[in-house]
Amino acid sequence: MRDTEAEFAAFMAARSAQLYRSAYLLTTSTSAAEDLVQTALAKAYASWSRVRKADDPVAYVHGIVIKTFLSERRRRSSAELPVAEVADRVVADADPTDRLALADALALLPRTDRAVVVLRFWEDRSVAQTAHDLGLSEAAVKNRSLRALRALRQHLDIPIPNGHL
Amino acid sequence: MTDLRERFDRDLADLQLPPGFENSVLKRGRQLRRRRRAAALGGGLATVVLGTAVSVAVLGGGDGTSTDPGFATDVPSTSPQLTDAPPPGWWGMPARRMLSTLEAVLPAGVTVAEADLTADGENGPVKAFGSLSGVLDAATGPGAFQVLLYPPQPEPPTPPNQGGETPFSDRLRCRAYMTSCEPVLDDAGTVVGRVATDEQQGTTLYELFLLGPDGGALNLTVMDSSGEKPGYEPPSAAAPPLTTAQLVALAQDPAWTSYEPKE
Repeated sequence: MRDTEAEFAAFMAARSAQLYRSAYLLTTSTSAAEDLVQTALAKAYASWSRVRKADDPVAYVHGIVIKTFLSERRRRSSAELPVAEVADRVVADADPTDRLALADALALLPRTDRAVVVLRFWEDRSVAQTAHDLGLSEAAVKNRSLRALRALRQHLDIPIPNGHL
Repeated sequence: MTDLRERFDRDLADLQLPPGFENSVLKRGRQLRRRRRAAALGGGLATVVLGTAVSVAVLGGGDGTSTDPGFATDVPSTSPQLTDAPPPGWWGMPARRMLSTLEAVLPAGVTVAEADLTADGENGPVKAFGSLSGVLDAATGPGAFQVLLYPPQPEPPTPPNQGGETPFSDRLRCRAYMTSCEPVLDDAGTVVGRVATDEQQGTTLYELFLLGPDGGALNLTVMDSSGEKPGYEPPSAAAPPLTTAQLVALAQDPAWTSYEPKE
């Protein structure tokens, strides 16, 4: 049991930062992202014997984050455990303006479109992988990608990556 | 002009998780594992481990029609272990009855606009017990609400660093991060609760924690936003749909604690 816990702790130490960034893109809020990653990692911990045997445990846990984001009805105030008092928070944010603008733009997208954007353009999943992970058709993934990128372009001054939809 | 991936990399580079995050994950993971073992032991009746939460979910209650996106997030353990299950009590009130109770005790001019009667189950939403959330409509605008009913905690309480929940005695305390906080006293002047205001990312939350009879407790929250949590969505109302005084009065109504579960 101790070895298993140590193995999970090592996994979490190595991966939680990236999971947090994915969760931030999905939720567009630091507090919501913390809750989401905490929930997803707790699920991974409880099922670690199965997760560690997956072909790609990292992708598996990122998948838990996505699925949890799309499906979970979290409690408003008490399901997630507080991790620190607000005064204890370490904030290392050189220029929060850009990140807030990014969050605002992403928040305008439907949740599934946001998930498509995160999987395709942050986690570099293929259209087929994204379609499988989200339970969508490949055509739906392409349509949602195009729609989402058009919306983001209006707010963020970024080009649509032609040929990568 | 940069592409989207570069924009993500640049804007998220300094995003940091708060101190203590990993310990919180381990604590929650242990709680979840124990809950699953309790569910396995219960032969289909998943009772939330004492003190960890309030909803009681009946396994297999989902409609089974949800699509599987390819990830297993809930895997029942095959090695059940004895755990403390909450005793039956008023905290096990079905969500549907909680809704009718809430509608009966809401002040004039405040109505339930939306209500979620479900909890997360192994295979999707299931009927909730002791947990009700949704949106209230008031003259100030719509805002989210939640009512949670807590079973008694074990004595002595399991320490938080061993997977236990925050003791009720700690939850009665006011915290530095709260914008304001007032104790709730009983007729003898004993502190039996606290009502706090919490402002996060432009939203305002009123939260009441109140001790109930037989060792249980109530937690009621209302927000000026319809998001799932403070800061999730911008404000949808000029103020939360209930005042703190109304929240206290509502929670103290004996309708919440008079429920008697069927044997």
